[in-house]
Amino acid sequence: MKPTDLDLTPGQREADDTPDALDRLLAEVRVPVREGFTRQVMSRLPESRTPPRRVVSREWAVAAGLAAVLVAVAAVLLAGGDGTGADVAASVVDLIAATLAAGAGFLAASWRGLGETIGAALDGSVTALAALGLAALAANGLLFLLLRRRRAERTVDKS
Amino acid sequence: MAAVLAGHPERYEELVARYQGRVVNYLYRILHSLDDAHDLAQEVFLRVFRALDRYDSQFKFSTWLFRVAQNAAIDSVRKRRVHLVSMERPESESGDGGSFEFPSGDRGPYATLRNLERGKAIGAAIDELPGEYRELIQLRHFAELSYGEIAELKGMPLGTVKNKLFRGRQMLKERLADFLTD
Repeated sequence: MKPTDLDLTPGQREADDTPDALDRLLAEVRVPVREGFTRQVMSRLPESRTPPRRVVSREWAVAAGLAAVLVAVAAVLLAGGDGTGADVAASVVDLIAATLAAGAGFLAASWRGLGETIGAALDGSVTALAALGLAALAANGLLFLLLRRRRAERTVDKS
Repeated sequence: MAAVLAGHPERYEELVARYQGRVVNYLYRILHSLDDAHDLAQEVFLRVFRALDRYDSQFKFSTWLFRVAQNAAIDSVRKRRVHLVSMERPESESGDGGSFEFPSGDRGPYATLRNLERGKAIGAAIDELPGEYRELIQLRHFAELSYGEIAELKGMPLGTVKNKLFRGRQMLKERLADFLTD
């Protein structure tokens, strides 16, 4: 009776681990590697070789160092000033709010400016309108192509 | 591997030299073409090199390498119809069309014919195994992975790998009984 997956004894498994005639037979059918294979692979390696991890970790170390300096400066300012922690927090919140408001204002102004520029460029001309439509289609097509390429690269990376 | 990751990409040559035989033999058993196996093996080593910065050192390099090789082989098989002549050396390589399976010193015509037949029979016996057993036999005997490495690569319990390999080897022994008693 043939053994199934579940009824193997430890002895059978152990016996299967030791090289036997089948191992020798299978070893005999191994094929030789073409001469110069390693050299061919090395010659095809990309010019811009993968950055070694040491460089990457150094970049992280610089960023971490800068963050540490900022924390230290903040601690000194908090400790040396007259205001309380709540005052400092309120000031930070005010600063963020002002930044957001300024950003939103710039954004609105930018869009308004862009709209006016396009309106002036079109100036009711059908040809200009068609050109703008074509440009919009081309931009969409370019974006689509770039997205597809990124997806394909990710697929290769996963493999 | 540690040296390559530490900023010495030229040391990758040592990794290629160490694993080339196993990768080529593994791919050859799947693709049945020595030329295709060499081409794809090159591609595998290039892919691995490009992805070195994403290598997770908690896994063995061999496991990662053969996972890439396995995926590449599957893609390759899907993309083209594989020429299912497993034992003949392509004409373009040697010109004599002889077998490379048994490069023994015995060059007599009878021995050559016998070796060729044995090579064909062994290849056919492996190909006729059910897929799950054939795959493990290829990983064990041609990629030369340990049971543990196969378990890691396939995401199977170690015991399952051992049992399936035992069964696969039993099937091979039955099919190749004539050659095993020589």
